[in-house]
Amino acid sequence: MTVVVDNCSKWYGHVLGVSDVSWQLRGGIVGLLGPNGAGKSTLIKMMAGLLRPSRGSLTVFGKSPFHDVAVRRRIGYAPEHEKTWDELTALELVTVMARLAGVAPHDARGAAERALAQMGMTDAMHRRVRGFSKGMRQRTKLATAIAHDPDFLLLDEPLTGVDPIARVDIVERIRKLAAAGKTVVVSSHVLYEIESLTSEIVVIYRGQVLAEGNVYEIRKLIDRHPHRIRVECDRPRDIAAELATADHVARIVFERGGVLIETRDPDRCYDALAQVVIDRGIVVSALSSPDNNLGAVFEYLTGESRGRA
Amino acid sequence: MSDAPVPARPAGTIHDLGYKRYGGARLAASTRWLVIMRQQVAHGWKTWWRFKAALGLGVIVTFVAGGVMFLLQDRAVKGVVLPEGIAATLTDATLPRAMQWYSRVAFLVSLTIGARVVAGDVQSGAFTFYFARSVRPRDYVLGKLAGMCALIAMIYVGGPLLLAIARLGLSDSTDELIAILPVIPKALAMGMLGTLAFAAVPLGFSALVHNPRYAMALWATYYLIVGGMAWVLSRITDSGIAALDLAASLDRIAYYLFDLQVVWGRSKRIDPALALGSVLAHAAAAIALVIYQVRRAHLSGIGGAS
Repeated sequence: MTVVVDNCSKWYGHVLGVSDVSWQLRGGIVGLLGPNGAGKSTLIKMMAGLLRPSRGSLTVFGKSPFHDVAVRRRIGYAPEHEKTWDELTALELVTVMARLAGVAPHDARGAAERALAQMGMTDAMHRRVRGFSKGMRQRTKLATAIAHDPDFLLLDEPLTGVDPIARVDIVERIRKLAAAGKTVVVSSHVLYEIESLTSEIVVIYRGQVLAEGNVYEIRKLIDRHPHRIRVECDRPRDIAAELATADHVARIVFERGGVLIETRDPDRCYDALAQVVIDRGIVVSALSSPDNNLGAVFEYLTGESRGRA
Repeated sequence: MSDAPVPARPAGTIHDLGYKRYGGARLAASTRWLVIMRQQVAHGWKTWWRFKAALGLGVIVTFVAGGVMFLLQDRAVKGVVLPEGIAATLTDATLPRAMQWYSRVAFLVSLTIGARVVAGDVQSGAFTFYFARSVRPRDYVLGKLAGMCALIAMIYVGGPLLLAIARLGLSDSTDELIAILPVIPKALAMGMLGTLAFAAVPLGFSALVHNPRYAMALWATYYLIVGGMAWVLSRITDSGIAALDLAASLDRIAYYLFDLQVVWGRSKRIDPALALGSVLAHAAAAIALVIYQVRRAHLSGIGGAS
C-alpha cells in the first residue's frame, strides 16, 4: 500500500484543514478533486511530509513522511505555489533539488538534465526561471519533483494556468510516469483536467472525503446540476431566439450586454451556441461559465444530499 | 478506494520515457547540510552586489593594509621618517587596526545576504523545497550557518591571514620571524571569531521576522544604533554595557590578541574578557533563535501551509 490515511485531521489553529479522513492508495494515478479551500493541498502536504497530522495517522510506504527523512526520498512533490528560486536557471534549480533529495553530486546534473528533457524543457534548461511562462514554470516544477526518481509523485494543481496545448503535453507526460510504475496523486479543482488524466478520483469537500471512485459516476451526478453559460455579444436576442426551443436549455436570462443560458447538457449547448454564432454572424466579446468551478457543483450536491435527508 | 481496480503494474515492458531510472548513489540525510551550504555560497556569488562587491572591498583593505605594513617596514622610511622601533610597532599594529575595516566589509555582507536568509526562504516558499525533501531542520540551520561562515571567512579570515603572512615576509631576520610567528594563529583565531559573529547574529535577525527587508533593517539598527547607544550608556553608567556593541567588542579582542597597548575608539571602555563573552553570547543566542524558529516553522507547517 503506497499511502494509508487513518482518521486523519489537521487544524490550523481554529481552522479545520482536513477532518477525519480515512483513505488508502495502492497505485496508479488518482485525482484529488475539490473546490478551492476544500483541503486538497493540506492532504497533499501531509503526504509530502510538510505537515504533521493534528490527529490520526498518515503513512507513505509504511512510514510517517513527516518524521521519517528516508521515506521522503521516495516522494516527489510539485507544490501549488509559483515561488521558486527565480534567479537560477532551470538546470541549476533542478540540480539543487536533486541534490537536496540525496542524489550524489556527480550524478545530480545528469539527473536534472534527464528530468528536464522528460518534461520537454531541454531547449530552455539554461534560461533563468524568472523569464519563464506559466507553462514552463509548471514543467520545471514537475522536473524538480521527478529528478531524484521518486516512486510516489504528489502534484498539486499541475495544470493550473497552463495553455491548452501545454496541458495536453503535460497530461501525456504524467500518464507516462504512471505507466512506468510510479504512483501519482494529482489535485485539481477542475473536473475536466482530472478526467483527462485518470478515472479514479477522490472528491474532497470542506476537509472531508465527499466521494471516491470512478469519475464517470460522479460526473453523472454533476451533470444533473444545471450549468450556466454567460455570452456577451452584440445580438443576445438572436441567440435567445435560436436556443429557446432547445430541450437541453432550462432557462434564458437577458443581462446587460449579453445573455445567461442555463442548460442541463453543457456539451450540446456549447455546440448549438457555436452553430448560432456562425450561422448568424454574431460578434461574441466574451464567453464564460459561472459554474466553471466545483464549488458551485459541490454546494449543489451537498444541498441535494441535505434535501434528501 | 478499496474497491477501485488497481492499475496493473508493467511486467516486462520498457516505457520510452526519454530517461533511465536513477541507479546512482543516494546520499545519507546527514550530508544534506553540505548541499545547503554550497547553495548558500552560490546564492551569494550569483550577483555583484551581494558578495563580490564586498569581497572587492576586502581585497582593497588587504592591499592597503599590506602597503602600509611594507612602507612602515621599509628601511628608507624607517630611517627618514620614523625613529627605529616605532616603525616596527606600527607595522605590527597594522593588522589589528585593519580588523575594524574587515568588520565593516563583513557587516555589508551580513546585511546583503545574512540578514535575509531565513526570512527570504520563508517569503519565497523555499521551506517547501527543503522540507519536502530529505532535509531536517538541523540540516537547514547547519547548512545556512556554514554557508554564511564560508562567505564571511573569505573576507574575515582570508584577509587577516594574508596580512599575517605578509608581516612574516617583512621580517628582517629569522629570529624576528620566529618571534612574530604567533601572528598566524592569532589572525586565524580573530578571523574565526569575527566570522562566527557576522555569520550567526544576522542569521538570528533573519529568523525573527518573515520579511527580508525588515530583517535587514532590524540587524542594521542593532549593529549601528543599539551598539552606539550601549557605548553612550556605558559612559554614563560606567558599566560594561558597551560590550553589546559588537563592532567595538571585536576591535577590543583584536587589540588584546595582538598585544596592542594603545586602544582607539569605542573599544576603550570594554574589558577584553567581557568583549569575548559578548561576541560568543551574541552568536549562541542567534543560533538558538534560528534553531527554535526553524523548528517551530517546520512543526507548524510554515512554508508548507498555504
